[in-house]
Amino acid sequence: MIEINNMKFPLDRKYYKKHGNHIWLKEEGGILRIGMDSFLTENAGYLSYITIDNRKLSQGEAIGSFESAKFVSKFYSPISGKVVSVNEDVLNDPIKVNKDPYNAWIVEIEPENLDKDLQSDDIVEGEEGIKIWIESEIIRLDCDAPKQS
Amino acid sequence: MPQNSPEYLQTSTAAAMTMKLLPGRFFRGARLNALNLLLTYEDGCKANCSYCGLSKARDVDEEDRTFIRVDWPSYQIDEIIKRTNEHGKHLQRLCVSMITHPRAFEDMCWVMKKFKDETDLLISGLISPTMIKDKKSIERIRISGADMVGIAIDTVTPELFEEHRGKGVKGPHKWDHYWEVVKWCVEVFGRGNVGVHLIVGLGETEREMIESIQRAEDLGAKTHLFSFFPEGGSKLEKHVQPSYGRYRRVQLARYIINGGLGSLNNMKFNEKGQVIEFGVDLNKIIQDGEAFMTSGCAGKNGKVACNRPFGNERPSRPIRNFPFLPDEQDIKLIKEQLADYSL
Repeated sequence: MIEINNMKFPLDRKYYKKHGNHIWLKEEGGILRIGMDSFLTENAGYLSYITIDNRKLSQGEAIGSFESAKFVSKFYSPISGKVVSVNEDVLNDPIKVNKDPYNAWIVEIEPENLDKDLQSDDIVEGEEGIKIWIESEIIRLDCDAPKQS
Repeated sequence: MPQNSPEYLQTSTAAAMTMKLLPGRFFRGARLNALNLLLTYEDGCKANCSYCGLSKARDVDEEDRTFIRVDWPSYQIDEIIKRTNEHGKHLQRLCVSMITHPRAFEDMCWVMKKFKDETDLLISGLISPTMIKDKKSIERIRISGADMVGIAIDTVTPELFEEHRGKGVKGPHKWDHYWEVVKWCVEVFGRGNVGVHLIVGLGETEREMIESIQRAEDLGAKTHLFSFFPEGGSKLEKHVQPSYGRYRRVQLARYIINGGLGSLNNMKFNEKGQVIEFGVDLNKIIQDGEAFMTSGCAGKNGKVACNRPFGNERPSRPIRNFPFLPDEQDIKLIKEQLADYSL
């Protein structure tokens, strides 16, 4: 786990950054779990809605959207494949993503071409890679450090 | 522990985000230019307005109690002042809102004075006329540091006022007194420094709404427009929002009347009370887009400071009050909306 500006990033998973995404992905038994990282939750605010609009996905295609009181955006798939499971618990109470972003997974995807997809320059992993990416995101969005909770 | 004003104040979600008390940023890079603070008491507001999130009759758990669509978390006043000075360099104005409560008037004056002494912000008071008995009280508000005041009349006919705020909901408010207080406020604060809040979508016609905007203008008060949003658990939770066409036409009429570009007398209406002619050349006004921006109290630069980003709609829906100048795509959509006369 590394911490940047009070935001935590576990090192046991990869991250997807295309389109300004802040999606984490973690493989478990051949299935990819997808969720949102703490940079996203800090910048979007407390989530009120998450929708899943697409279940057959190409890499970089929108899975669905998320919305807070004052912000809305799509989120995109880091890999090609099909959605095999949706975390209804989180969809019914999206603030769980803010409370525990790395356990509140959103969908599980059965990958089609995982090895190729993971070669993408938009996949980030490892302490150094995550640090460079998040620091550039802080500059891009002109963020202050979130408050300590 | 009870969190009562004046030691504690509720802030809008947007204000709490701006002060970095809540996480989040605004869609499309919007920025809040005025802080909205609400007095808060354990025993709540004594009024019962049908559409209001603060209504004592509202059937909702405390943690789900929204007001104007969003949560209003409470913070200590000293923390708000500290955060305002740390993170609010761009802020232009602060608005302290009374609720209908016996302590609210004195507490509002105390809060205003404290912010006047400890921040650089211009100050507005959103007053509850039911708690104001005479013109001297309005003078007290001015002396406490406010340079502008707002009065939420909200509904635009005596009948609708009774239905939604008066006898119809066993509420304490009186239509005639609200307008009397508007007159007192104009006498104390001067023409153009008083805002009458009106909510589009509470059962009125466009004509009735525009008549009220003209009435306020003739008295020396500007209109700050809101679009009805159904608060869960309120009496009107199933009431639909006004159509975009209706809201856009009222925005346009308000801009024309408050900007001195025209008046009600030059406007024409159809049999449904919908405005069909505005009596001025609309092309440039619509293309400029300012008519569709949020109306509210102005800041030091003379532009609207109280811009309330996404206050009347979810950010995933088309914007009703633009917190920034609409762009070309927005104007294209606004033109389509203006042409929609379906009810």
